[in-house]
Amino acid sequence: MYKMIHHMAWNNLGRRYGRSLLVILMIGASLWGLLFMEGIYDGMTEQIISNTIQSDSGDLSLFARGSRLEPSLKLLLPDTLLERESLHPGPGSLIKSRSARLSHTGLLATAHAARQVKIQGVVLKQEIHHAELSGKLISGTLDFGRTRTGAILGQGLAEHLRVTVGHKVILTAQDQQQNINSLALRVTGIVRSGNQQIDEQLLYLDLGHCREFLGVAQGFSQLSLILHEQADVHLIQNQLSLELKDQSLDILRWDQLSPALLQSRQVMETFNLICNLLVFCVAGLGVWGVVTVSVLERLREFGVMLALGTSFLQIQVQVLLESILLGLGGFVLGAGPGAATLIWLAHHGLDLQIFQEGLQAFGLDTIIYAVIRTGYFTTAFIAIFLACASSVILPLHRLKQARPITILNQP
Amino acid sequence: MDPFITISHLHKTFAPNRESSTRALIDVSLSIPRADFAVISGPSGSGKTTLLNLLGGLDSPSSGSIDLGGTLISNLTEAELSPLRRDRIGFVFQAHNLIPVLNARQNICYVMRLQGRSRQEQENRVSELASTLGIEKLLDKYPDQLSGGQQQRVAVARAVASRPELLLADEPTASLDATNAVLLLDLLEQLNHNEGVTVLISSHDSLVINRARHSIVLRDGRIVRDQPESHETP
Ligand SMILES: Nc1ncnc2c1ncn2[C@@H]1O[C@H](COP(=O)(O)OP(=O)(O)O)[C@@H](O)[C@H]1O
Ligand SMILES: [Mg+2]
Repeated sequence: MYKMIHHMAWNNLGRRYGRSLLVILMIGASLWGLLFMEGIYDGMTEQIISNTIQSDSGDLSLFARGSRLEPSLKLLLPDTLLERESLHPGPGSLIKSRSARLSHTGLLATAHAARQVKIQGVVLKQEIHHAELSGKLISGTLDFGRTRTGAILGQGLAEHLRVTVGHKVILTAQDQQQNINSLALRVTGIVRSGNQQIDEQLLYLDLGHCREFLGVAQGFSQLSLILHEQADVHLIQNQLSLELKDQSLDILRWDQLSPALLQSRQVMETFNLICNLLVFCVAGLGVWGVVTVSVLERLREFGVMLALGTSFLQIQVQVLLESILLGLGGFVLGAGPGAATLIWLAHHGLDLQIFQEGLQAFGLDTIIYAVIRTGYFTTAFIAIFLACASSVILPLHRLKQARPITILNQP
Repeated sequence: MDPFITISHLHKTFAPNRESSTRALIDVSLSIPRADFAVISGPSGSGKTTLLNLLGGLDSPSSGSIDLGGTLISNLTEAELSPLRRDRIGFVFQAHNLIPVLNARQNICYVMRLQGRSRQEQENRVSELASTLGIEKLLDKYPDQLSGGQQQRVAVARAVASRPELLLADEPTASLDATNAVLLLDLLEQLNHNEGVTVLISSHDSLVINRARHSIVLRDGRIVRDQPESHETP
């Protein structure tokens, strides 16, 4: 029985293949557009988040208690903390990398200009690995030189000061003993962190050199941790809080450190949901139109079927099946090329050179790498399925009201 | 012997509460024996179609009753009428009988498939009917590839395929030329004779009326003549 319904549904779609194809194309094209937008927007958001995590917050960061809100060279984490087994990256650990940073504010000046900077004293090898600096270097080298008086600047900062690699700059800051000190540095490298705000203040110095300059014997301000799996972040936060509870530390997740980033992810998710709703409407309206026309022009055929003893339920199933086949067709047509597009964009990226300025203002690279998630497809599938299923309700109601069985003997 | 169909005091009024209400059938009483070959004739608008629709369970009467082989069909709901039509009644309409997306074979098998008959049974019945009706070569064609006469023959095959007790044909020859009309009538008579199906045809075509074994004439919704075994009377 259901085999016959299936057969009839297929043939009905085939009988008006032009119309069917048009709806399938419409659904497919809008689904392709949806997937493209989702993947790119998601990619942008994830790029900002991961740049910020790498250059600043880590997945998790440890601070001396209270120093996050009121930074002070007197509130530092002890070097001994680094020896703890649980904070070591390496085989068997859930931690992928870490970087200990000594942070302080200062003033960086040339003969013409001066900017406030956030000094980051780092062990360069660690930071290169942790913040993936190799991919972010835009000129110079990742090296502080033999005398360790080199400085690596954020791109925004370098632009404001109009300095390039090789230029000399003067750093002024208050040390731990409240004395104002100055230090001559040579720009050895310029990096783009991917976050405009960070970029405009970023100054990397050698940790040892930085300690000397700031009059700090030992210790650091932040221990930034990046995990193998971001999903483990709550688990590790809890474990560390428990283990280090007598150490007077703040252990904060990236989303606690940068709530705006979490929010931007939520905005992205809402936007994607709205896009899904649009596809739902496109599919629903398209299928609704086609089903309405095809049901009303087949009144006589349905009348014959009813007269022969077909139940109205069977007719409903057939019409529903026709609409779902249209939706499935659209889904396949949109999801296939959509997935291919996203996979390509995930590897090669989308070059948005023309929007460069706007993108960089948001801390984005000009090349956006798409993200691809199975969730896009399941949500879209559900949206299309629901759209198709609900779009037959009205046409079937009209079919019932038309009482097709009574028109049979009108020639 | 009890008659197969007993109709008593049947009334049908369309749009009863409006000014434009039509009394399509007025106090119709009639009985039809099993294996009858009856023709309902009368001018256009006299109520032939209405009567056939009520008998076939396509519509329900305003008052009165219809008994079909012991079932009071005038009291059934739509949900009960649907299996009754499927299992006990075959229909042939004036034209456009066939389901366009099914070929002739599938159209003939349609009711048997609704009933869940076995594939073997369906095939046997199709070949039996195809040879009786001379449509062997048409079985794989779709309705739009068939002429009007061929379509009507396939429709007759479909109507009797599941061996219903009653075959209702509403002006089945109206869209056919004389040759095809005669052929179709021959087939209906043959099926009536061989399979014992009760045949009830509505028509105002004299070709059909002359074949009637039982002649019923309607005028303005009333029976004006009811002559069983009419061809035996002079
Ligand atoms: N669905 C309907 N609504 C209103 N009036 C109808 C309807 N069907 C038939 N009639 C009326 O009932 C009368 C009988 O019609 P019908 O049974 O079709 O006659 P016949 O088949 O003999 O030509 C006619 O006056 C017709 O206009
Ligand atoms: Mg009529």
